[in-house]
Amino acid sequence: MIGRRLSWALVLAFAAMGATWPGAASAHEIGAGRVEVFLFPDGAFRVDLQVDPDLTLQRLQLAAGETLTPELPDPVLRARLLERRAALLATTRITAAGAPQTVSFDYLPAPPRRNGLREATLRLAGRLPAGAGSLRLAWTLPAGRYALVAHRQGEEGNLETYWVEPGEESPPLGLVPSGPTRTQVARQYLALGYTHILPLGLDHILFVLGIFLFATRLRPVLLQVTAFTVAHSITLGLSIYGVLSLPSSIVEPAIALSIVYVAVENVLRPQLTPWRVAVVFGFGLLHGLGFAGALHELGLPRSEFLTALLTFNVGVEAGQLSVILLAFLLVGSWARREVWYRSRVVVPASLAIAAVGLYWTVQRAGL
Amino acid sequence: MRGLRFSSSLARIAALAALAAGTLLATPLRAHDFWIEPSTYRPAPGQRLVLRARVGAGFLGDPVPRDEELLVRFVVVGSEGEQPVPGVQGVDPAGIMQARGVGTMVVGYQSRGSVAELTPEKMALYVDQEGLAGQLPSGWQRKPVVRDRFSRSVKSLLLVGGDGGSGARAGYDRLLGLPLELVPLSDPAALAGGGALPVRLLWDGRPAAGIQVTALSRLDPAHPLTARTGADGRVVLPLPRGGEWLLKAVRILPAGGPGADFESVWASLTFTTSEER
Repeated sequence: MIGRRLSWALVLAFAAMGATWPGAASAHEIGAGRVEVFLFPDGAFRVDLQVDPDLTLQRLQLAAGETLTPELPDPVLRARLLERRAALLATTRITAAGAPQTVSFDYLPAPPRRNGLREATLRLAGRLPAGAGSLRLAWTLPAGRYALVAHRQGEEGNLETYWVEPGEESPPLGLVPSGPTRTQVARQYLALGYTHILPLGLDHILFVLGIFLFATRLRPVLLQVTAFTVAHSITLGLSIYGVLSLPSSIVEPAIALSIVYVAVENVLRPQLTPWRVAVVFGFGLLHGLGFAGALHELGLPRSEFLTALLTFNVGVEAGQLSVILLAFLLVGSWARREVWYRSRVVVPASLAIAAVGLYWTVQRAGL
Repeated sequence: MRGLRFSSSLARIAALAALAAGTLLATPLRAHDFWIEPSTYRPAPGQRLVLRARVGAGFLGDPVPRDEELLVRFVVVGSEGEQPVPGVQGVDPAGIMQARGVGTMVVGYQSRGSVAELTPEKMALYVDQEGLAGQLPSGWQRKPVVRDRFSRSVKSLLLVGGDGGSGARAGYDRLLGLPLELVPLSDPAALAGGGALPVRLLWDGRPAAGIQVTALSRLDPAHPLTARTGADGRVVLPLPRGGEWLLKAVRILPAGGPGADFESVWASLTFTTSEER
């Protein structure tokens, strides 16, 4: 649920950005120049500069004060351009970790003339120094703004396009689109876990309230909460790692039924027995599967999988404890010692919880 | 022997370094000239041709695909009147047309202003190159960033049906009413081997005085000719040879509204004096 809402918000935000950006970006004469940058996981990189070889040679000749030789056949062009590799390399600047990088140079012959234009590739290749995660490119040869296409996962994966002015430095191009840091992931999944209980997880709230209403003393409540926590942590982990899986058509009604059970037992048998703890543990296993379903829907960042899993669980925990704390502050703190606490609070509240749980059970089971 | 070989490789390294330095030094001098290159300047009647928009320096241009958002006017005017130049958005060549009638057809291209942000150093380079110092109030050198709203007023001359004598070449001085317009006062097609070409520069239809006009030859773009217009907006360019030429002039003035410090209009005119390039 949250995952879907979050992704919609992102889609809308990007759409808004897209609606405002192109107008500004296309206000200039955009040339037809193009650069493709490939970054490979082992730190190797390749920069393909697409050029009109004829025009490029003439520009170099003009800059060097030589006579221009337009319209040369491709083999001759290739030879002339390779002779000028130093000059060609001087039109580019590749920096990583603040230092200029040395690169190899190659000329890929032009395919046959298309639409009156020839296009050849000047290929620069190198390797990022250890510890450098990104490179920047500046290129002075084109006369107009050119397209820089970054392939940040080798030849696979997504590409991103930037428009770069000639001579200006590109934004840093990292191997993979820079993902969130561990702290960011931790903070995000802690919040997601917490909000999955409060205020979004009414079924879990009711279950925890059921536990809270069970006893007026701290020990039984703590015992049950601990059993519940241990259990749902186990199934959440197992399910996320793909060891355990149950269809949500079973898990969701079962969670609803667990609410009914706890609430009804509050009314019928208000003593802490090992049986009660065992049952709560069992239900915890179920709820863990429910959390796993939610977490699956949210998605887990591959780079920080364990961080996300653990912090989500901690967030869920904090949410449950908050429910108990709130209930205690609102009702328990002043009413739990009253003689009418059981008859006017525990029994009616438990019955109401049981009724809601029963309704959900029927609804979720599709009965 | 050894010493000789050493010195020759040293010379080679020095040459390479000089070449690299030359390139590095030359690149900041890149002006953003804009012009139209037709697939032929001498179409036969009824012939279809493409009009390529080019941006660059030294008459060596990069393709500029058609951008409707920037276009104010893209037309060709001949003895049979004015026709719009169609084209495909985002595609080079920017326009396609068909030669009609006889005599000279004038291609006209006018773009909307777009703002470029320049460092004062870059601005100084282009002020120097285009001879704009006299047109500018002082003070821009102290700005951290100079914003220039530039637009294009571009023409190209085509001669339909070949060289059929002076009567058949009429129309080279046709006015299109561009904001800044270069108008040849004698027929460039008559200067096969070069010669003096008188040109008038008009700003808003009136003579523009004291503005630098530059002429670049396709055969020798490294040696441009420059001259400044007189009170009547007139300038005479002694073209040392025939072939394809690019004439250009820039008018710059303080911007009227917010969003830019200056407004500049870049005029250009391409033609060939003889058969082909």
